Amino acid sequence: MSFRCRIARLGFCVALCLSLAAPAVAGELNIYFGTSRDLFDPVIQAFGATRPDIKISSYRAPTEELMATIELEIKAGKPRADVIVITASQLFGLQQQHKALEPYAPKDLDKVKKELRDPELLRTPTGVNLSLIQYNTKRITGADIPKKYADLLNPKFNNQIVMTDPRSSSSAHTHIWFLTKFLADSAGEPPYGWSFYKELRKLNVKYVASHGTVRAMVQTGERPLGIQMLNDAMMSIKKGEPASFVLAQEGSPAEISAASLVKGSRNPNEAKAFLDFLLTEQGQELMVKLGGMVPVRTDTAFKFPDGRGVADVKLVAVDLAYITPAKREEHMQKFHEIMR
Amino acid sequence: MTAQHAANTRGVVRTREGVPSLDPAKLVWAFAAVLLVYLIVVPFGYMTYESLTDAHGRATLGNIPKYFGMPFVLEATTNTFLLSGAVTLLSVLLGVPLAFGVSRTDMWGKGLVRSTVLISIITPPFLRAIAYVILAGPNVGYLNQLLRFLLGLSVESGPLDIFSAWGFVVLSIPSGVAFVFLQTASAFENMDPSLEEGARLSGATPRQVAFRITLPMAKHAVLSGALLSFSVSLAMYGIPHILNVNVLTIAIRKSLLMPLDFKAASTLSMVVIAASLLTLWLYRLSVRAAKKFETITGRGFRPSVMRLGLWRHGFTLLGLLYGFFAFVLPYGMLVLVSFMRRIGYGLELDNFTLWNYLYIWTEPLPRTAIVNSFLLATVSATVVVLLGIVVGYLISRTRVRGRAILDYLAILPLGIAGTAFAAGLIIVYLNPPLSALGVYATLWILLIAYVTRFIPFGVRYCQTAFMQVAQELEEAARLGGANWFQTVRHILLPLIKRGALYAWIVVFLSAFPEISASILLRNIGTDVIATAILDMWDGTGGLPAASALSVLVFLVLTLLVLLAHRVTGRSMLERG
Repeated sequence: MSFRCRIARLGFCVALCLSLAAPAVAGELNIYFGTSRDLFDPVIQAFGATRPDIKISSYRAPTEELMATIELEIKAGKPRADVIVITASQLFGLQQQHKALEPYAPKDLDKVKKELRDPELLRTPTGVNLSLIQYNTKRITGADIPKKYADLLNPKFNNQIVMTDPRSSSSAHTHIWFLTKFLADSAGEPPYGWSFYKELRKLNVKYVASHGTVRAMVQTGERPLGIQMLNDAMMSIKKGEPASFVLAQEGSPAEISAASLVKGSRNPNEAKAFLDFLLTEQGQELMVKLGGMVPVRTDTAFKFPDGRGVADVKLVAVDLAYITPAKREEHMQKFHEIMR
Repeated sequence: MTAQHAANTRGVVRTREGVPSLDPAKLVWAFAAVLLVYLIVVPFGYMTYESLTDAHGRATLGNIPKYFGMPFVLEATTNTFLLSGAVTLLSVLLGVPLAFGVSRTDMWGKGLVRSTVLISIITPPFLRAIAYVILAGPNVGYLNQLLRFLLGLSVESGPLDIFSAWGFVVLSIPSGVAFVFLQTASAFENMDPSLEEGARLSGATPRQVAFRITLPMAKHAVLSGALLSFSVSLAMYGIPHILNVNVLTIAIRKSLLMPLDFKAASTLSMVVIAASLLTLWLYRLSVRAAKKFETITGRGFRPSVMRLGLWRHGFTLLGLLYGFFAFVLPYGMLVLVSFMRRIGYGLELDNFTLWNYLYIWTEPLPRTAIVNSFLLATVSATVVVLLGIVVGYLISRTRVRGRAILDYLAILPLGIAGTAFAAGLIIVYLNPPLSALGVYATLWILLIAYVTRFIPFGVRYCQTAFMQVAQELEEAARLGGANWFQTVRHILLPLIKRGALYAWIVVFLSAFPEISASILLRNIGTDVIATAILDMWDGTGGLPAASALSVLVFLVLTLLVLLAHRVTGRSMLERG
């Protein structure tokens, strides 16, 4: 064998080894999440500070896009995520359709409010996020500030309202459930039900991909009223943007944000350490302070900016079964028929 | 081609004895050709298959009525063709007078028009979209506030609404105008002035000359400019994403999202691709026709500059408006916002800060994105140029069988929407057998997408460069005893160096802000600048940080263009 030939073979072998050896280095953790990076990156970084031995990577996309990526990877039999942090309803759907999750009981689970725990241990609750009305404090003042969702249908708010598109944001499905199903069943009277969206359509409501964009539109005043989530509304306040929020009189749908260990994860131990961290006192304080959510632990202090506590607010737990993927397609069709 | 040339090139692939052998040069070509075919044919083949079969793999034509019957898709299709048509029409109406003004009249502000054309081509259109959301948002857009004040309107909203089909058209026009301008300006400059002079001497007024002589002579160039601007509008992704306008590129992405429907995505993609290819084919026909026209008129003349007196300021005004609304205003706005703390507080003095520029360098997302974009643009430009040299040589210097197919294949990607192509790549690389390569969700799949999308630039420019080098130089070297590799290395490569460098820069310019394929292909750690900007637009860091990153993109691209001009002595405006 000539020298050149040997070099060529050696090169080929090295290339082959490199390409095969790339995955599965110890001490890694891949996190997929759906909220703005502003809200969750600091939590990941705080975990990184407690475990400098782990190389953490993360991928963020609006929730429905994130779901598409996850499902693509599951279909191909190659889940890249070790932990997924999205809404409990999405995780519920992932398990229903693909059996994609692995049960795990994090260390401090017994400190978590009972009604938030998942009996199957597939979802670790990390925080509670509420639907609310966000408004621009420079453009909506005094008596104009809406007190309930029904107030949004006032003709004076023509061209003023922004909300998310259920095609790209999963929390949009929470709003849909609350306005078209829960209130229609409990409060009964119109404007609730799908007619609520028909009325919104008449006001030229604008819909965008994610709640981060709702925040941007509300704070610039381009759309001074938004159907928003608590975490993004809290971020506006934290950053000193001219925006505040109202917890509507009809009640606040409470969506559980949760994290799950992915079945077939290449780094299960690192993933479990992260799930443990999210339920520690430190983790929960971060979820409140940086993540802008209501804590899931019974012993973590929490106050809304107006001084009220969780008990002073009318929370309504979201019906997970109503917004599972099977029903989503139907809701989106309905939504787009109305909005077209 | 002469018989001598044929004999000579045949000699390249045969040994002196005339017996075919394993010439190393052949291996290089074979490798490049196979790579090219693989990169281009595999994803297209796979998507064609997906779009023409049902869920059980049986052949069917039912997918087209099935998906295009959906109201959402139907609306996207109608929008795509109507809006692209509107963009094209308006681009011609603006671009032709601008090109005429700059190349044939004594208007003022020619430099501004040329710069705007250049900027509109090299910078990604979604930067304009971000700027105009701030400028022409219906409620608090600065232009709307100004208009309401000037016109004394008492309404809260409007009169402009950028979040509309018209917003899409208006924001796409600068790119359309730029393509029309490039095509027609060179036609106006290469025209034989004797025909115009003859008309003038026979007593025609300048207006009659323009409409009876000059414009008819440029009509093929106008047509090819129009077709280019049509195909660019068809493939537009960033603008409709930001404005939330339902067109096919957006529908492709959405059909891949929630219902996760490969067949829908493939079928929609094939329609976009078919439309683009048809446009491209018409474009090639019209370019050929235009060339014919130019040769008849001959060279050696300089078309006269018309002295229009006060009329010239009609052109000046048009040029100023184009430059202002397509360049000065949007980029000025981005620069301004990039220094704002919170956009909600507008122009208050303590609202200004340098923090956003710090943010894009210290936060993981923008930093990773900047590094990735530099890396991908550099590597893809290099690969494309290497491929371009080999394939360009193959097409222009040899008589290898099938080179015409390579020629056509190499131009195919020009006509394809990045979103459609990325959908194809995902389908191919997530399913066996190619899933075994493991490129999905890595920078590799982005590199594959970039290289394939920009192959046309590499092949085109290198082919032209080869054609400019006379054959005798190589023949002399071969006669002097040099083998093929030596000839290529010492004679050919040094001579085409400039053309290759130019191709490298053009590919880098296109790859650095690439958005439409990247948005589907990114994953953990593989965000690029364009996807990071969109992510910030969606809430991370906010508009000011997104603007800061946009300004950075703008600066990098502008610097590169200046560098290209310096190094190659060729203005970017000459590539038509």
